Amino acid sequence: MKQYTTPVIIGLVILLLTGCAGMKPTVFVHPEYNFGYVERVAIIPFENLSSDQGAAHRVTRLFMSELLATEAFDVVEPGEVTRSMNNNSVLYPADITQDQIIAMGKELGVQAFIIGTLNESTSIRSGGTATSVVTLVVRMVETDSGQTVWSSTHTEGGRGFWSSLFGTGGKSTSEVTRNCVKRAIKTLVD
Amino acid sequence: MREFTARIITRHKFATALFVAAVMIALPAGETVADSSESDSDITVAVPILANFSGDGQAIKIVLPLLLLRLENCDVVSIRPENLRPTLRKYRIRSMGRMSAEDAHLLQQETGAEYILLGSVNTFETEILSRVSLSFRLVHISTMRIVWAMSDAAVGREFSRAFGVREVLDMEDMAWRVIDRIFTDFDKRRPGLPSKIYATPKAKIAVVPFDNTTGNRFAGEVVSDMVLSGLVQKGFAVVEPGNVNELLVKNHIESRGEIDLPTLAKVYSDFGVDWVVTGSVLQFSQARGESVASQPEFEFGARLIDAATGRIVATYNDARGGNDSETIFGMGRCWSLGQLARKSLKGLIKKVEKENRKYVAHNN
Repeated sequence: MKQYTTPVIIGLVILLLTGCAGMKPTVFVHPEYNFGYVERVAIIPFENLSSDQGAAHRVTRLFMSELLATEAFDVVEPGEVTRSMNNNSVLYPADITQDQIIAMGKELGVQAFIIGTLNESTSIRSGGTATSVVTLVVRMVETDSGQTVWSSTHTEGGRGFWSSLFGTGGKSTSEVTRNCVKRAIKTLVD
Repeated sequence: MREFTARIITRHKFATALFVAAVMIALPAGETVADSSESDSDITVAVPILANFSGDGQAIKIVLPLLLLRLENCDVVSIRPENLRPTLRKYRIRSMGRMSAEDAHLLQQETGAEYILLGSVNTFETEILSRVSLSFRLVHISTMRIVWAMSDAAVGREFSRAFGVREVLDMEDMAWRVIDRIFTDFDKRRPGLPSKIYATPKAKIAVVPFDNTTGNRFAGEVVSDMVLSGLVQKGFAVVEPGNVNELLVKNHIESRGEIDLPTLAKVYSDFGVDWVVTGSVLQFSQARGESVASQPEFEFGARLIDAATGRIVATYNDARGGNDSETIFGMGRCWSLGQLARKSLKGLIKKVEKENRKYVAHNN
């Protein structure tokens, strides 16, 4: 009987840990694209599909700062992106066409654009505690052909293992958003 | 009110005298040099009405008389807001904590003021906890150079002793304490006194108003002013925001938290700045109660942009809550959003200083 005790305990712990872990990100990386070619990128303001007004704007800014912090790429100043979007009549970032991407790419001197959508940014109340959930879909589009070379969908929750187990307070929305952005970038830069 | 202010004056005159004496004894030789261009005499300062970002209509009525009272202790001849009003009306000058060079020069012509003291009431709250946050800066009108700037904040609880004894609840008292702290710094650095010489030359910076994505209407202005104060305190030459604002308005640019290359080129050519600082305020909320769950929260992101090339040279992000610094039983907890923001912004100022050292080394 004793010989089964240790494996059973280990199995239970693994089950417990994986059961409480967040969803793994869905990642696409173009197998043939040479990312070493990308030196400078521009971030198009993220689209907001969440009910939180202004959340996409916050996430766009956060994404830019976190991307700059990795020192992997040069990022174009957002004011310059806004000007280029106006010049190329891009009203809604979600409706950007391939031609507009190529034209803006030349104008801004970038090799790729980062385009994203904030699908969810909510605070879910469960019992006495509130949990924040953020879902971000982000992709990199290269400016020579307008092709997507990287894409990542990531969901981050505010309740970790211990808070789920003991019902303690989870992470704040801003902490969850930051983690979500960091993990999404990690799939591009690592 | 009169009794209260008289009591304060007596107490603070004595404290100021003691402080000045202590500074004169303690000041190490070689760290400061006398600025021969300015004499140690009274300076004439125009004090226009302060900008009110607090949302409390009573804030200015309480803060302004205390400010004028404190200025009397600083060897300053102040031109009061009521005496400036005819000139402001005549030239249709609106000064909500900002003033363009053109308007400031008109004010100088009419009143003879050498300096202008601009400021804002950032927080003025009596709900549950008494909280005050203020920003001030002194601008030399002829050169439009910001010669001194300071932001400070306090919460009534920080003055209390064990078990909440002597917690300051009276807003007048709170406002006075914050004003006095700010102008104690002014007493040390005011024009006419020996000015600090920095080992590393400092870059010239323009602060483009921060973007605001929070529920607080004025968070962008408040944080921009705090960044400015932090930079001026560290010896950076910062362009008066009124001038930056005037340039943006004249060119029909509603730039907040970002800047395009043509605008950047104008800022570079008009003001000769090395860098532009801008960013976004992502979270700016006060604690709404005394429970642990309710804490002030602050989050921002800022960028340092090379004005000549438009390249982002540095970026800084920080998010923090009042409970982050708590050790045990509420000790070390930060109750004031203003103080939390100041602590958070210190990181940005350090980053700018680091970049400045690199910049100077590179240019040499």
